[in-house]
Amino acid sequence: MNFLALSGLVNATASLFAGLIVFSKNSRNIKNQTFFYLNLSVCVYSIGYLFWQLSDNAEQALFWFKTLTLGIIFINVTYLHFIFAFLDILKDKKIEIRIYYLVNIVFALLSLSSFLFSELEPRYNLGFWPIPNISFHFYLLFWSWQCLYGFYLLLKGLFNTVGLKHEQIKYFLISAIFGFIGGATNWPMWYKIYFPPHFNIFISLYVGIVCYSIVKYRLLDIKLVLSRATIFVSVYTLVLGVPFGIGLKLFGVGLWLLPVSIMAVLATIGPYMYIFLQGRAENRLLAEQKQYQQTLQQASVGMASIKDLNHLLSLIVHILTRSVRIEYCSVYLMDAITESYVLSASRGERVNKNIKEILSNSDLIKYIESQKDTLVVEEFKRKHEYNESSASKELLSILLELNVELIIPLFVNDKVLSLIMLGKKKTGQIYSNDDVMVFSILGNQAALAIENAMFYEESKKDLAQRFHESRLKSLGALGSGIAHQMYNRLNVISLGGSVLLDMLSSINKDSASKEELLKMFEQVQKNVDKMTNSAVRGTEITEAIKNYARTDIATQAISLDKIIKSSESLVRVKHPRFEYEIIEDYKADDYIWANYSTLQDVIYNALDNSCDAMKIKTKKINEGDLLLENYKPIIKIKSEFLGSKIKIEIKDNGVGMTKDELEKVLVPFFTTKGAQKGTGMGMNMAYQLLQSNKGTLEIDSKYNEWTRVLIILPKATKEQIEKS
Amino acid sequence: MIKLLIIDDEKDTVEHLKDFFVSRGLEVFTAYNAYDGIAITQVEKPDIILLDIRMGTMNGIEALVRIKEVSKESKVIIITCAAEDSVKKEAMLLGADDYVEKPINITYLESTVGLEVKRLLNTEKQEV
Repeated sequence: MNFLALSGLVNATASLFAGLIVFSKNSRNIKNQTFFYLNLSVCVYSIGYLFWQLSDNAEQALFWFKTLTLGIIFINVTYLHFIFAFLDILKDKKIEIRIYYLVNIVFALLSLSSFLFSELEPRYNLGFWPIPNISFHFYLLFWSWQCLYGFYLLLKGLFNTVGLKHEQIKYFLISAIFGFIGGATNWPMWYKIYFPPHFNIFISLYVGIVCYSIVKYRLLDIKLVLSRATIFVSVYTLVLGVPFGIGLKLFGVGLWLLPVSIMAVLATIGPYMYIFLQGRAENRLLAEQKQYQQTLQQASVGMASIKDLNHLLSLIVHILTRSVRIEYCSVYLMDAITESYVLSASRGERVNKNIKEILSNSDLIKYIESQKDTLVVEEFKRKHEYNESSASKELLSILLELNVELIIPLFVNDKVLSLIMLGKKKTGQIYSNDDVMVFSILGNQAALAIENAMFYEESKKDLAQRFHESRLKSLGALGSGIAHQMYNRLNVISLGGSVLLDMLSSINKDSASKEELLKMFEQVQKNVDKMTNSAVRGTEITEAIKNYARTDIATQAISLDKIIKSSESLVRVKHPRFEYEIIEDYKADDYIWANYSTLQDVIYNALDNSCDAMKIKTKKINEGDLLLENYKPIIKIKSEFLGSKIKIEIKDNGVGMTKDELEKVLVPFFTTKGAQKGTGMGMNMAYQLLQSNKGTLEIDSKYNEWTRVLIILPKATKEQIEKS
Repeated sequence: MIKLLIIDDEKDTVEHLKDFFVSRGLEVFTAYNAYDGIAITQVEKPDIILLDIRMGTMNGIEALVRIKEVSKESKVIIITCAAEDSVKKEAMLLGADDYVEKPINITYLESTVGLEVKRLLNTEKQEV
């Protein structure tokens, strides 16, 4: 075999190899596809080249030479196609590339039907070379044009890009220059110029540079390190080339080449087939395992979206017992206050519910904290079977009592947040290493999700806390009102008493007339009556304040009548002698499922706002700013059922709100009352709290006419009412 | 006869005070809100006015200013809660002549009102 033939063999193997690798990495991407076609064309060219050089008669040589020419023609068009794709300009070049394909196909047909060249002749002892026809000159021009056009596009791309893409283009350009120089060194021989085309081997250099840039600059976004590939190619070429060479020396060109070539091709494809089949087989054999691993993975993603801690824990337990089919499963969650892990969720028939909590300074926890890994009980037993130390004995006895197979610790910042305990699998199989790995992934996800949920719960508590603070604050704002009220009550009592004493001292006991005594008697009756009333009202005020300051956060069935009445009495404390009418149009035996203080606060706020609004309207009318006769402040409270909900409507005929005010009414710290009167948290807080009670709040209003507050909350069920 | 006007929205208080001052020989008028109080002031020009500073529709401070506009000569004694120091100061600056604190000590109130009565009687004498 001469050097030219060897160059063909090396080029064919290398280009096919590079093409296949790129194609296998992402066969759907147009860049990979066109790169593959380009390399396939190079391969066809090189195989043609190999056998053409090996041919010992003109007829045989002509057949392989036509194959070779086909390769040349398609190298050019696929090269352009790849460049269009590589530079992301294919969209604009759609028609252009079609034209190129068309013209090249025409040339291919011309070549096949011997219009480009009709016969070969031996030249300079370098094999058989063609005698070009006139149309060949045109083709050579067209060929050169395509080459230069490609280079031009690549150069343009080079100047317009930076970074990785820039490097990629640079290397492809260099490799293409080498490739085409390699190919072009063949042209002089067509024109009978003596120039042995030894540089044809440069085509392999093209492959080498492409491989290098794939490795170094992720050309075509292939991230694999392929240094092995180059070694593989060289070794492979050598291994295949030597027998080919020897064979050719011994037997010349013959039929033996066909099976050997097929063998070579199959041997090249072999590893890919193997990988493909291996993947298929694994999928089949481990289908069941894969399936539940997938379920777990999906679950671990889904968990992150659950904010309710109890819901989350029972979901974790549910997923584990169902998808892996475990006999039982339980979750212990850290409780910072009692410094222990408390049984928080469990599922399965034989779950050991006796152990409700595990102290955080117990041996088990210490052991897990030191291991920082999933505890496989079976393994632990094996390891510690012959260990007589009391610590490990104690640990073993705890594990036996728990009666679990696997303990998955969930870590957050090196602290055990929670423990998931798994019993035996229902199938009786043991837990494999893969299982343990998937569980630890699930564990990590679960830890995050639990932490999230705990944080969310914490912030909910925060809301309750803020709510209470705001109530105390408004109680503070009520403070001077309350003081005034109490002073007034005491005032009446003390004045009544003083006036009586004063009268008594002005009467002479011994000489008082009957008339005087009678008058005195009347006065006593009148004053004591007033004093008693005052004392009763004082008690009412105290009661209302006491109710307002309570801080229960539990949801309960609340009598609509009771809560409205208590809110009203609170409002009367704040607006003691403002006279208004309340029209109550609701059924007294309606019950709502909500939090008492929340709802009281919402209703109180609504009524308080109504009173303020009606006072402002009264003032406006008194001062002549608003012309209205016979204004009577009225608040209407109405309720009606909406399916499982109850709608409470509080409507006053006060001053109302402007559009602007109405838009801002739910904005925190927005108040129309001035800093001393309101905290500005009222309606916003009410809105948030109602939402946390699964209710809604709507406010609408007409300026100078009315304001309406709509509260919608769940109705209490019969059971809930009976319970409370 | 000395005219006394009591303005307070707490009806019971007003009645108790009225009983007391009638027994002391004054001519007593009563009003349960600031608007009525101002109206009476305009007509009767009372010598002394007892004015509760915290009331429902119009507060006492505002009422005080209006009263002074309507009847400069009237002596205004405001009634406040013990805790409301700032209100007291404000009222005194705005022309209140004196104040008493709730719960009202009737003896103290009597002496306060009595002081004003004496002053009034003295100025009358001087004029005569």
